[in-house]
Amino acid sequence: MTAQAPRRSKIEWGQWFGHVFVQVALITILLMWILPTVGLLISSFRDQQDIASTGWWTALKTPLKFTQYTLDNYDAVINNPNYDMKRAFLNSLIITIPATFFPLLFASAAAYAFSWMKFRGQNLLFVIVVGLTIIPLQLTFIPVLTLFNDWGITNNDYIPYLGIWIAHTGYGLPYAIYLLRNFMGSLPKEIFESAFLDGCSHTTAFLRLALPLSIPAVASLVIFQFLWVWNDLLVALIYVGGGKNAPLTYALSGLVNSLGQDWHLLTAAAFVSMILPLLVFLSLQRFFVRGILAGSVKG
Amino acid sequence: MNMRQSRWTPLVYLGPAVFLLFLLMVYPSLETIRLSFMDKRDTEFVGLENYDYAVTSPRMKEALGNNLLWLVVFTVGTVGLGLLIATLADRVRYESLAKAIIFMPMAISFVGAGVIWKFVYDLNPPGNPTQPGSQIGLLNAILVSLNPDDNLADLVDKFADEDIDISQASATTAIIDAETEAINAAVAAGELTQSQADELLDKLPDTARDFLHGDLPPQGENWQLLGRWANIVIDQINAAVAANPSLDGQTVCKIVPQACSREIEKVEEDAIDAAVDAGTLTEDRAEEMLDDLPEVALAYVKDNKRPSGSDWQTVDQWDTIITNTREINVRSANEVLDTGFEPIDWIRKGTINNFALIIVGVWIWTGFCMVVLSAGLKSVPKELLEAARVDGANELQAFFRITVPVLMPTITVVTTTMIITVLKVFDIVYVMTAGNFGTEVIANRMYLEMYGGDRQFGRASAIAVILMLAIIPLLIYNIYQFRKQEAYR
Repeated sequence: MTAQAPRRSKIEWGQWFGHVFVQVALITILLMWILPTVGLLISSFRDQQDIASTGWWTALKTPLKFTQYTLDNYDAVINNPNYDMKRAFLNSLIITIPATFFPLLFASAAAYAFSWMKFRGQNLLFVIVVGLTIIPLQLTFIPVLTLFNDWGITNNDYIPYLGIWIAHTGYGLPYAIYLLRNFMGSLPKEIFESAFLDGCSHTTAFLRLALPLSIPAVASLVIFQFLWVWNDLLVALIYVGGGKNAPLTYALSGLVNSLGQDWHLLTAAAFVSMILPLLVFLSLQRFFVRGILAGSVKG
Repeated sequence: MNMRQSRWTPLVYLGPAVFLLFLLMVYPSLETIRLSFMDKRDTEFVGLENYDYAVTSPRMKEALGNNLLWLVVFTVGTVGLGLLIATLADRVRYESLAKAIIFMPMAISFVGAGVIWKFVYDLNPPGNPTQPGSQIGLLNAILVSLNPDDNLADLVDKFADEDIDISQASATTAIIDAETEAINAAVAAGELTQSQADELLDKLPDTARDFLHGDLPPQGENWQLLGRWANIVIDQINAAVAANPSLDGQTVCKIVPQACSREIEKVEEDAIDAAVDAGTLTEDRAEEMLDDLPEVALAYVKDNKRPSGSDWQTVDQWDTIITNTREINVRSANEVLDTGFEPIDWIRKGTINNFALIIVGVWIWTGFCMVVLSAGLKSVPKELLEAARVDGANELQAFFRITVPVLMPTITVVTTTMIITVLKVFDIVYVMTAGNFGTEVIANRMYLEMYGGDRQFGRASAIAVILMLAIIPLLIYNIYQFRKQEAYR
């Protein structure tokens, strides 16, 4: 017993050293990760003169001196018609809500069919869906845009968003079907079998059983698709282009070009574009993480 | 499974999805492949012409090279850091907070991330007349803060030590005189009221003295010559040097190495250009040398270090240049003071800017890798690790011999996902550089061919197909993995 004493203290010292190392390394990394965003946030509340002449960290020397903060930058990017982030915010909402709802609707129906029906070519069709999850969207732009132009649904004055709604609905489908099929397919077989034995129709089984039981997966996908559409720039560039119907991402990238070093406006505009996704993320992080895990690890 | 399913039921459920998938993905993909063999308006078959363009045009070559750089650095960066952070976070009590911080960038747009990082990379170029000195970009501020705290007062003192006729007092007076004159002129022109001017003139002596000692004057004041104050002092120094013939160039260069190295740069630049014209130097090598020149010249002035490589044109004359340099050639007073790190233009400077953009990508996507790997980490049997430790393995050994092998399938999945992601990288480049300054990537090229200038649909299609070809091995692998999973069901 006595022989063990020195050995244990050696281990404890090693553990203590390892523990300190872990803390220092992790905290350094965390600071590196969060400082850029903190800088943006603080700067967006600073006076134009202050931003242009001193780094945002100078505000931290007197964090409670509230006179150094201002809402002018937000007032400018939201209300000044030259920047008009208010309109862009609205556009983003109008684009995102249907572009989240419809893919989820169609995908859950398709996922149900893949899980609880039998039909010819079922496996082949699903393999195609899996393949489509990683196809580069670039491969589709030109023909789809040509079609949309022929049908007159891009630059349509009455429903200017129709093109991008359809596009996002289609592009969001493969992953949503894949994920929901994995989820619905792993629901207990017995429930469905006994339901069908009792004379339950597919409509009822889908609406009353499969959908409610898949709420966790659906919730993940809603967040996913919402963030993906809200944050998308490329699809918006192709199917909406600029103009008064452009979403936040487009508006912000335009400001980056036109404002250059006007950081007081750029920081505020960037934060306007980030506020909703950040709120969604902070409040629903668990579902988001679950969605990622379901898609990338064995389903 | 159930007998009452009519032939048409699956169609009702699958119909909308299958229709949209066909319309938006299957048909367009095939059509794009066809278009890639046609000319820009889909009127004539051109064979492999577009593909030839896509692999030989300079901008596409640049893009392919950059995508390869992204592929390696981004993938290693995200997966490596993701694994590291997942492992570290596993050992602390604030694990969920740590993971939320790393994961947060996944929630914001690449455009937003682009703005965040453009701000981090912001450069206040040396010699900016309106805002001398201070860097508001985090990275350059850190870089410059590593410099010795030089200020004009020190500079003046150093010259005064060499027995030339200057002092802090005379330098301050020079600023005060020039600024007073400018303020009075502004009052005469009606740009300032008399009371504003009086207030300024009242503060001027103190402000000028503080400025000399490295403080920026308070902002929002109506100083007329603020951007030129430093140069007023430099002019004073120059006048004093000119009035003292016994002072030699070597001494001046000791005090202001930056100014002397710039004299060398000017002469050497001309010599290199001449050598290229004469055909004794290749353009590539010349460009390389011009890139290195500022560093090489400074090393020569400060440490008398001769450059390696025999193709430097006028090294033998550099000493003469130093001896002859008595007056500080002021391009910007700030540069004269700046004897350490120069702030870097992270977005525009070749090579560095590609890494600067990749860092933004890593910042966004590491969270994804960390989340997936962290879930995998929880499934590594604790007993296995304990057993290894009891057998005397240290943490690193346990990590590389047990954790990593057990995690391998997860690491593979994450790696393929990152490769698929990085091949398509677009937004970050589009927002931060628009593909300029040597940062072009394939997806941005495709967008520009499609929408820029004369709408080269054929070329854009060929580029998209090349992108697809790069992804196909991963697609096959994905389907293979999926099949294997299905076998388990």
